[in-house]
Amino acid sequence: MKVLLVIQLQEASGLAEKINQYDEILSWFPSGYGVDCFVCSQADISKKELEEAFENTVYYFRPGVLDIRENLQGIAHRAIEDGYGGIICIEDGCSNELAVLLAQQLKWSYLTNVEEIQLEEQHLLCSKLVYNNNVKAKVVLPLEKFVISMAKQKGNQNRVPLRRALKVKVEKPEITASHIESSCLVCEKSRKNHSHVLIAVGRGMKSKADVCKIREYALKKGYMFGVTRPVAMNGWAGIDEIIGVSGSTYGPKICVTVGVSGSAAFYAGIEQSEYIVSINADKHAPIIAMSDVSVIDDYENIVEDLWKYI
Amino acid sequence: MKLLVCFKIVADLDQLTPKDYVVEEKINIDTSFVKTTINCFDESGLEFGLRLSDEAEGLNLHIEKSALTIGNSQTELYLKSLNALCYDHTIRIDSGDYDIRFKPDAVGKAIVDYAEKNQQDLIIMGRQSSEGNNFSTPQVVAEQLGTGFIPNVVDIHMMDEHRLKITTDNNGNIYEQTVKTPVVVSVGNAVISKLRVPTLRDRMKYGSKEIEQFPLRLEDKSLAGKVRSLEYVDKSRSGQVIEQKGSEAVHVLYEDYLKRRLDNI
Repeated sequence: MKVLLVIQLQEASGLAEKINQYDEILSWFPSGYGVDCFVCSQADISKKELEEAFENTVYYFRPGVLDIRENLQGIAHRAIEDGYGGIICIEDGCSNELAVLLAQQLKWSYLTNVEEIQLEEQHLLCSKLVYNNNVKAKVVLPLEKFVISMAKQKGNQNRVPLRRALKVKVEKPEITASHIESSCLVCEKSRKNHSHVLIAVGRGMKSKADVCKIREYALKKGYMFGVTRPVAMNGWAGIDEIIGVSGSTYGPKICVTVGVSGSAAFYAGIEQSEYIVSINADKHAPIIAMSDVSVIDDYENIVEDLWKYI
Repeated sequence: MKLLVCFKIVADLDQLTPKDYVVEEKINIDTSFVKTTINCFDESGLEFGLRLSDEAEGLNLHIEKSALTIGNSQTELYLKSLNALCYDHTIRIDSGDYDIRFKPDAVGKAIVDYAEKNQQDLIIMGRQSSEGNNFSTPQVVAEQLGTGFIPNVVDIHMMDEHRLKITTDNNGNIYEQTVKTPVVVSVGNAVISKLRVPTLRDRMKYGSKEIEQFPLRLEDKSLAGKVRSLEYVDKSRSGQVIEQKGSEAVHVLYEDYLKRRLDNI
């Protein structure tokens, strides 16, 4: 059986980030399975880059407009034409959306946000997190005719691949009428600095000024900075600063949380941290048990002194 | 323009402790004892509906606004609030005893059934909810209705009767798109997150307004994966607590726990 692995890329430099997940997925399927890649990107990616990144056959699809339906048509066409039995979409901004649309169109079974896939005799057994990331669900899908989208990748180790794809085929999109009249990039993704220290603040902060002060300190030191969703929704930080299921995930050596209660959805964004330090006035806050060490005190009594040390 | 906002009432899972996650018969977790709330992405959607209506007035246009939820009778409290916020139609599809947590197909089909009987130009839905984390219903609705679909929407504005200016967050890149209706939009981390509160006067005025009921048509066949088991994920670490407070605590934290680690960075 053949599986088509879909990778949506916004820029050529994003290729390296996908390799870990690609490798992991390859390891779940025994050699009898042929795992090919379908790379959708408006960016210019050279044949050589694609050859060195993946194995087997690579399809390179360049959509004309930013319309998820164009990728959808391209992938569905290839899956049917070449007899693929399953499609797996590697995590991207739109992978869940794409997977469900594909499944609806092909009338195949589907599951989103999958963490792990196990092959059983009669089924695929997939794991995913539900109940705000507090509970792991094991979900059954058929061995054929499935579409899966993977959950956000954890950790950030990027390995340089050493392999050679058998062939790279360039796919041409069909020009279809779109309901999108125009599309314009108004703000490019901010480049997050990579540091060994992450400072995260939560809704325990008393004012926007306090959030800004901690952000200023973190950036001055070259540390990474982020907030919980309620802080961003309160207008005290940018949406691109959210940590967790609906934001970014980090894996620093040290993560310092300040005034964070510790919802599982937030924790998903820091759980790969080697060491978690928390400052919280509430000794019953869930984050205390999820940290390596905590100080139970008002953050105003702590942070100024703490910044002298870290 | 006819606008439908779909929303879900969910349990506030932040109120649950690890001990509360007991998997019962039928792979259920009892959340009935915690307070309920509008799913956060749907709350943005409901406020977008009101804001679009305000904008339409400024353009001498009219938006007929509907708000729909699938759930039990407890959801009617929220629908009454939406009546007071001047939603023209509030609709409840009674889920009865049917477990919709992991059934995005069934939820999507119910919305499609309603939208086929009551044609809509714009359908706004939150991208996911906490319990099932299905991330699927807006796509099911868009595909089955055969309309356009815009994911990861963070802002929506009215342009004219048939076009919207929609801002999307595509993995950190922000795009502005001019989109023709009919369309289904899936709301992500939106620029507005709170639904306005109705005035007491409007609550009194519209409190007795009827909530429309629409039947749930169940289908045997679902494309969504079938849940076999649920298991609580223990995320606890060593959880050491420094007994000191203030500067003294910082000193202990640095000397005993951080110094060596920071030196190795």
